[in-house]
Amino acid sequence: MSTVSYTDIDWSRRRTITWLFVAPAVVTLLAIAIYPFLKMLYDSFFAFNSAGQLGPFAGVANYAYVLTDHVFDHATLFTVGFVIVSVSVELLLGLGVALLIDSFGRFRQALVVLSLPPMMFSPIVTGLTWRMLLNGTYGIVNYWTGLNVDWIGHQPWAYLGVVVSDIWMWTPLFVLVFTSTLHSIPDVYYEAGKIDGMNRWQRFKWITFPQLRTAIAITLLLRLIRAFKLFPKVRVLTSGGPGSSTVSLAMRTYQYAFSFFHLGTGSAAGVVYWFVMLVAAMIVFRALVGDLFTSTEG
Amino acid sequence: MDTDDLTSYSRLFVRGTLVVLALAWLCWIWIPVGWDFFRGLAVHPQTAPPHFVPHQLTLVHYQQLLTGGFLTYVRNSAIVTTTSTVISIVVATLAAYSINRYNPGDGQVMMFILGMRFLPPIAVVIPLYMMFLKFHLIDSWYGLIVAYLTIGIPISTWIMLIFFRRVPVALEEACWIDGWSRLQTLRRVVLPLVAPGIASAAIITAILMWNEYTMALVLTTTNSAQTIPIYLAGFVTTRGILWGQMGAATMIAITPIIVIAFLLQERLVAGFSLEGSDG
Repeated sequence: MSTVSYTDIDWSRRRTITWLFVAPAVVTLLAIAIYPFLKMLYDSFFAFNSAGQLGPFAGVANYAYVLTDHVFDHATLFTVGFVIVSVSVELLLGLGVALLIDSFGRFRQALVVLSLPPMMFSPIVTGLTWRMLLNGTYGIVNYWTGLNVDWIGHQPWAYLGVVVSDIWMWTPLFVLVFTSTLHSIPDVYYEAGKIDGMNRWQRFKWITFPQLRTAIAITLLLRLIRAFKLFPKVRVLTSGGPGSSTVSLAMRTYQYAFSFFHLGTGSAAGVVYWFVMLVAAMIVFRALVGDLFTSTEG
Repeated sequence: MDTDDLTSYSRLFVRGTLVVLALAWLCWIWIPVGWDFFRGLAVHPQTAPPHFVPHQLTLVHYQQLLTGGFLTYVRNSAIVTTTSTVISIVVATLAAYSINRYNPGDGQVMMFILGMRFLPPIAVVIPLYMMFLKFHLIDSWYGLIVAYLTIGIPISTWIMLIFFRRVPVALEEACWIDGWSRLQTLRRVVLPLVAPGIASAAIITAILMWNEYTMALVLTTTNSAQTIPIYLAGFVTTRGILWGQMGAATMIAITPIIVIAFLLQERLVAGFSLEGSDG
């Protein structure tokens, strides 16, 4: 972000306008995001009655309940596994498709636009669509592949179904970001590489990849955060089943608060869920983005 | 991929392979969409074995859907999405201008706004639910519009920041030297220059809200405020599976998005590729 020094402006007016302009955004977010979040932290230490009214102080009882609930523990493992597998496949497939599309000079833009729709659909639409496609009797997937599999009712097929629907939905994002980055690499770099006697692989490794690194890091981080919010898709695709094996962290948090109406437990689950997501984001940030700013390669 | 270091014969082979791969990719993307489309039109949407293209076509599912109250949900979605997008864009444009030009709080304000991404919607919506109960905002458009600002403001600010960065400060300074006021300069020079950015931010914000499910699920309870995603999810949770109506409803939900995608592809591509992802 470029910090601009305005030389000929009087300082007090500058400060007034600055804060006047950011005030609506900051105040709104403080009121409807930060305050609720802090309130949830607070609420997580209290019991609630069934009418949703604040009860007695409960210490860490809510947290103890959440952390010893095997459905919640499994939801944590499932969500983390889901994020790792789907996002990795989306990244690699997206990179491959972007390189493919980039080779179609004239039809490049058309191919990109035709790739976009899934990521703009509601996760609910994606979930419903794949629920039909994967249906054991009436779905097209079993019919076309010759498999005879109960995708929704049996593991590991239900895991696979959730991952496949996510890959369908989100690979286009990587394709979009990578094709626009690839398009922005000047041709002269490749010309120079050829003159220097680089082969195709060397040109990818030493010219294309370094240019893609920033895009990969940022997209991966944003996608990771988004993937952690998995809920609507599984709600309609598998309804959390079979059993509760595809219940995600967000879904379990929802169940505590709004199916069982334990707002205290729900708040504690929300805090744990947020914390897991934050730790994962930090790990990825350190591994990718931190390195990006300290490394010296141009 | 350049192929000039290959013989013409193998170049043809490489070209052919690439075309086949690209077609396979497009099939993977579009077959599920086509599936929904044909379910909505099929007289018998569920057959064993399944017919991707049905033998007999009908519009009866659309008719049942439209006379069965679905339009109420479309109306709710349209009102909530439009209002919340407009508010988000106005608030975010001001904030992004200020952040880009003056960087208030040395980057703290920017980090604060962008850090909102890290709050999962379900974690915000539990306390929001309790607050809204007190203010009688549950099951109302207003409640949902307010809740969606937590999504809309951070996303639009992020996109607008990138567009403001491209407007040279020198341009503004020239106007001030000519005696224009700050607000005049902003209105007549800066805003027209970032108009494409505003369009990009608005499209992406609107798509996010149109599709939002988690908050709507918690904050609305009847069809006086429930949105399209809630109606769609009802096919699994309350109404039982009706593939014909489900396909038809899905098509109605995604048609505005596909139309926008094709009409405004440049703005959309710019917005999405800059923004990286939605939140």
